[in-house]
Amino acid sequence: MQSRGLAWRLVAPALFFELLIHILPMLTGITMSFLSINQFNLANWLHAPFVGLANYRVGVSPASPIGSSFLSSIRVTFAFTALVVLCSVGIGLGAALLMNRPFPGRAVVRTIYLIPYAMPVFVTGILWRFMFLRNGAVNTLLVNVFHLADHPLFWLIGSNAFWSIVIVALWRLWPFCFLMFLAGLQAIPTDLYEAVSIDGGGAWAQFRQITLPLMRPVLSITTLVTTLWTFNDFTTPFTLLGSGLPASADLMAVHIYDNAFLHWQFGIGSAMSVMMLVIMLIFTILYNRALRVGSEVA
Amino acid sequence: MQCRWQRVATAVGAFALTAGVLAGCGGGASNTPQQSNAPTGSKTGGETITFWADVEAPLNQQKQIWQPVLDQFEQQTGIHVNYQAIGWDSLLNQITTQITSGASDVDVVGIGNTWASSLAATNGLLPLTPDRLQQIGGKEKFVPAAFGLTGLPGQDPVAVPYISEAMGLFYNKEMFQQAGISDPPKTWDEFLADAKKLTDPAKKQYGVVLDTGDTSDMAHLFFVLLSQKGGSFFADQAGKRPTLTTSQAHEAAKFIGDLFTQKVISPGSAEYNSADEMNNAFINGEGAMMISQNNSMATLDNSPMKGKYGVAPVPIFSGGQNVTSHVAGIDLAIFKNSQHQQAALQFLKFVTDKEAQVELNKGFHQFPANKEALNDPAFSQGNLAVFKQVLLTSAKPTPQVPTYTQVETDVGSAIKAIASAAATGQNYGDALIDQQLKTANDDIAALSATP
Repeated sequence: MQSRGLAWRLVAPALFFELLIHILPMLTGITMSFLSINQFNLANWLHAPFVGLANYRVGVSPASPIGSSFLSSIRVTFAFTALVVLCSVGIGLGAALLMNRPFPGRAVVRTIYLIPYAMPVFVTGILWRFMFLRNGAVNTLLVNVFHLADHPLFWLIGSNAFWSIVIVALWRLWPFCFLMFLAGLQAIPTDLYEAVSIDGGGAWAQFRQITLPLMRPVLSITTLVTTLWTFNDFTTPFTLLGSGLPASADLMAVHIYDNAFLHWQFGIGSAMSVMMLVIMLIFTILYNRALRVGSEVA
Repeated sequence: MQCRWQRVATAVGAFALTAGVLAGCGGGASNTPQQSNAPTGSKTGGETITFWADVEAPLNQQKQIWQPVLDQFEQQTGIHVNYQAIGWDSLLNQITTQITSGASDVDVVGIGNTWASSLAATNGLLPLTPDRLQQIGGKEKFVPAAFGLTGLPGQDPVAVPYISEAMGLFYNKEMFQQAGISDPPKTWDEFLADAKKLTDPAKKQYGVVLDTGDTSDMAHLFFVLLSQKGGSFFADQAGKRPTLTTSQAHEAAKFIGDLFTQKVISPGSAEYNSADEMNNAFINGEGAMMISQNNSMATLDNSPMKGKYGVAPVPIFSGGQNVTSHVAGIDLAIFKNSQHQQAALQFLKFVTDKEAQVELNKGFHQFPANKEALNDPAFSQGNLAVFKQVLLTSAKPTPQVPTYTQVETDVGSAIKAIASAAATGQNYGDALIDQQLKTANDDIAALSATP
């Protein structure tokens, strides 16, 4: 009994901060999503009118301008997340395989690979914004150096804005995948590869029979984490494009921010946040069930 | 009286809002400039108030301009001011978060004067009753036009003006001379003719550069163009009936979009989402003209463009109304939950008295909101004289309605989308203009219907 009490006392601070920092704000956000909060009751929002599911209905109604733009934002966010995560995992895995074998200068190359991940996100966004401006480095390379385009393109407005946020998010994210995968690869005993080699297996057989199965836990966790981060990404689109994103790049996080903070529709913004949270929860549960993430460790 | 649990829940709510998207999304790092003079040790003796200052100049310059005023205030009253400069991109969010939380750690805040009516509606700012206003020095010490944008009509003001601004046409004298243009344009027809003469895409030089990606600046420019055509944002003073689907609104929006199709504006303008980016493009010779507020002078005068540019009133449509600017400016307000209301009132009085007004506004290249200070010769010289004339004769106040900040967002977003479509050639035309304006109109009508 005494040890049980001690255990509770040791866990209590962590539990308290978990409740304070994660659970309570989340519950408050859910509460707000059932209220009609606007500038008239902002200072006293606890007394804002209870509107039940009205904010949710507005958020998902294709007939209303708010609903149709939010639904479009969900579609854009799914496409953005899928592209960024798939490419990050692919590039990260490729780079980790290349870096797994020792060669002169490996440490330097590995450090260079990690620079995008080490840079503060808003610095990354601002730098890429300069490069993507119509008279920036990207168009100079495309038009003047490689002659891939006849005239400078717009990267920060119109349909290309989507590709801008994908490129920047990918640039930021793949080094994290690389780091995780490299750690995973280095934990694989080399004698396993030797065994396949003795059996006559080439590089592809080694990758298929040894690398992929043993990397499965790292791959699963990395994909899950990067998906959640990318789905949530606020800083990349905000620093690159500002608020009021073009329709092609209208990611949910900024879309919700605009609704809540620029239109002062905090109830609707909260409802949208809850819907976003539900989408992520569903994805996480399905993903965990499908891949049994974490079970490999046991 | 609020119960303890309600206060806790309120604070948590504010936390959730600030965390950006209520635990559903990742937080966003802001690129907002922030600056503080908070002492490293604890302050002993005397009162301390916290002041969120709006950013009116590059941060190092801004600090140099404010510090002597804050020092004089402390010397005179014994009240220390914990000064924090908050960038414009996050100032309004921080204000709304402060109001939502009911926190009392900030006392005074600088606000855009067009926000005053919306913030008054939140009930989060201290109403300046006749007695409090008298402590600041009375309504009479302010320029009437500036004092007009300090709250909701028929109610006590919630702020006092301390900076006045106006919009003007900046032009590059050297480029004008090279193109054989002797005077800046007075009408939009002359403006377009001059812009064509000044445009040479081979040299990456265009007649005009704007920041059509900045929703706030676009809302202001659209407001001026619409006013010149005899239109307005609302059919009524209460702001219940928006009128953005009129022919005047269509023509005003089309004028901005057509700058791109007529190829007289730098195409990059569609991507510039701040006055800073526009100023830099103007300095780099990308555009021979730009439309901006007088605070752009602070940037231009710290660049190679110093002495090489002129200023004129914004052109008007032939036969149009003489409106060449909105009444722009900055107000100072006190948070209702401030624990230092008397000290904050003293600060407002000090900053809006003649001496501080002259000192601050000279530094910021702005205009005092104090009548006496405005008569100082410093504000009637050179380019500032043009802005002063605009402010006194052809500036129109924006609507003082509770939803104005959202109106500005909606209108600005519509113009930004129209300009973006015109620049990229994606679906630009009358139908798109009408659709964007209708969306803004419907949104504003829905907001205005809120009791």
